[in-house]
Amino acid sequence: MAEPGEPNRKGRPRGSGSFAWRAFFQQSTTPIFVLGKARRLRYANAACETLLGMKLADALGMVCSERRHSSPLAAALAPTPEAQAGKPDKVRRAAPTGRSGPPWWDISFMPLSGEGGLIGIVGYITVVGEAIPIAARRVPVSITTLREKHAGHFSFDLFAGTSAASVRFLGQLRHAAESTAPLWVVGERGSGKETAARVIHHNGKRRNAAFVGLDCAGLQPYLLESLLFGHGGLLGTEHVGTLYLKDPAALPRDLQQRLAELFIQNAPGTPRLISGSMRPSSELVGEGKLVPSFHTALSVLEITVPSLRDRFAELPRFVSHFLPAVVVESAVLDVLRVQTWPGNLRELSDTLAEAATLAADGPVKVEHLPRELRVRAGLAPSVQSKPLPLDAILEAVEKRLIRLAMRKTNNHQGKASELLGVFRARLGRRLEALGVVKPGEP
Amino acid sequence: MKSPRVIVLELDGWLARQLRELAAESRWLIRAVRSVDTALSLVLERSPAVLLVQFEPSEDKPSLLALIAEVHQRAPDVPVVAVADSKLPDAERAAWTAALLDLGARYVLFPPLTKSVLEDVVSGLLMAAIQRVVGEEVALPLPRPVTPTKPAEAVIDLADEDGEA
Repeated sequence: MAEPGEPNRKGRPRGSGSFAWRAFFQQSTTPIFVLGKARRLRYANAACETLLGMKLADALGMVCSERRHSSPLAAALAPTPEAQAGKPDKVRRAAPTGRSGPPWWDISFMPLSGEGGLIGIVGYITVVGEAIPIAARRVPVSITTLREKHAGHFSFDLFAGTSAASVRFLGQLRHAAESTAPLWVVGERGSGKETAARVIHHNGKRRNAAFVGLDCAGLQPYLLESLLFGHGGLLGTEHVGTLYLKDPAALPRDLQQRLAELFIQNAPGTPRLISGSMRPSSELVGEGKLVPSFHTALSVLEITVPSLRDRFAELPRFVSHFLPAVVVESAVLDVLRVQTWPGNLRELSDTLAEAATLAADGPVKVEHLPRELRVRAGLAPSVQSKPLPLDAILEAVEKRLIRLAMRKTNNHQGKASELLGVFRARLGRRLEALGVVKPGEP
Repeated sequence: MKSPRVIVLELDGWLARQLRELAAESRWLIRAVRSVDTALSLVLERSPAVLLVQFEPSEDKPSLLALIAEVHQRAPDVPVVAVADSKLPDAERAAWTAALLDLGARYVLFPPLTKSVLEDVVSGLLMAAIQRVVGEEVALPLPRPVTPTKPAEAVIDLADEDGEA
């Protein structure tokens, strides 16, 4: 028989008349749950079931703890040490679905103490902050911070030089950043077309969304289509602020046309288009490599990144930019100045990085530069001045082959001549002429 | 030009295994690494390379994503491919793709991954990287390893000389 005060099977304490606590809690719009002494889930009302996104029957008996292997829900409902010690407590936790919040849950724990200590804990949850629907959920906050830091690298200062070409180009960059019109960036390889596009994006009106750079020559068209138009594709979302197409003439014409139509329609949410190429769009259209729309409508602005040759006056600045903590002797700059730099800043950067590696911890000296640069500067003899005596080389090769054939055939001249594909008499003459010692000879 | 390399930062070796055949045919080196620092030091060696970074979207691991940003700043010619370890709904997938491309990745892959897609992405980006190094020359596919068609005894190899001396 049940003791007085002990709940009966319907959860109704003796002497409580018609009061039904389950029904009472069930009507509440506040999410309420009850944990047993061993932190097992014993009850959750309808509001709590809705918030947790699961039926009580499925979670009944779940141990609510913050152990490593606990589920996110079990960890979220785990009572604090204070509550387990019998003291009312309140804690704010990220909702299990929000990973790092929002929303957060403010959970209040009300311990129920009996004569033998804790007999259970009643908890209720208050939701803080708007839940973000899955469709609009973003990436973690840490990535947002990282993106902001990364964007800070692409300031106008990267192109702020003293040469006339740099001053003019910086003005064009600022003008382009104020606009959202489609842009065509021309420049030699390695001159910094994509960097310029990034500077424009990160200092422009669409900087809050992403800069997406696509290598049209490096990726097959189906990969680009998938990235832009496929499942989870980028176009049609609000995530992209600028789409940079590196060498759009490398795209097949049907994909060029599809992109052109999309950007010409310019529906809300369409990113800004920046294209980068070594040649003006008009030339590429003229040669049939680019659909005309790219020139007529998608190259409203056209800017040209100056080559390194046009910015030689800034060479010391570039060197200190690429090797910020390295001492570079002035003679190195003299050698660098007499080069043509077809690969522009990219080539300069690679050359300096290699020289710095050779210099280890010491200053970068002329001898650390590649030989061909020193040759062009007149500081090293040209490799071409080394003699290449053809007859002597051929004779040496012939001698080695004959010796090898003789060894392989155990000095049998007949077999050796077969191996070499010559008549035996000729082999004999060559042995004599080349001074190869015959077997049995002193 | 130094040997082109495929640098793979992952824990289980699955990506490197998928690319082994392609790398052998093309004479590329595969460097499978597990640490961010090692991956970065390999990238900074300045040979044509592609970096593959495996990541798990549900885990908040900023170091992997910081690597993508750092490679983009310090070695912009090394394309980075981010490879997700788990499926995501379309909207989340687009958000992740945009964020990673914004950090400097060149391509982002999500499951289900197939070997052919992985090979297409890596070979395309690495060939473009090689082309940037060789300049205006047309980047032809690298020769396949020579398969001997005659018995080795029929070939006179000067390198044999030392061995037989």
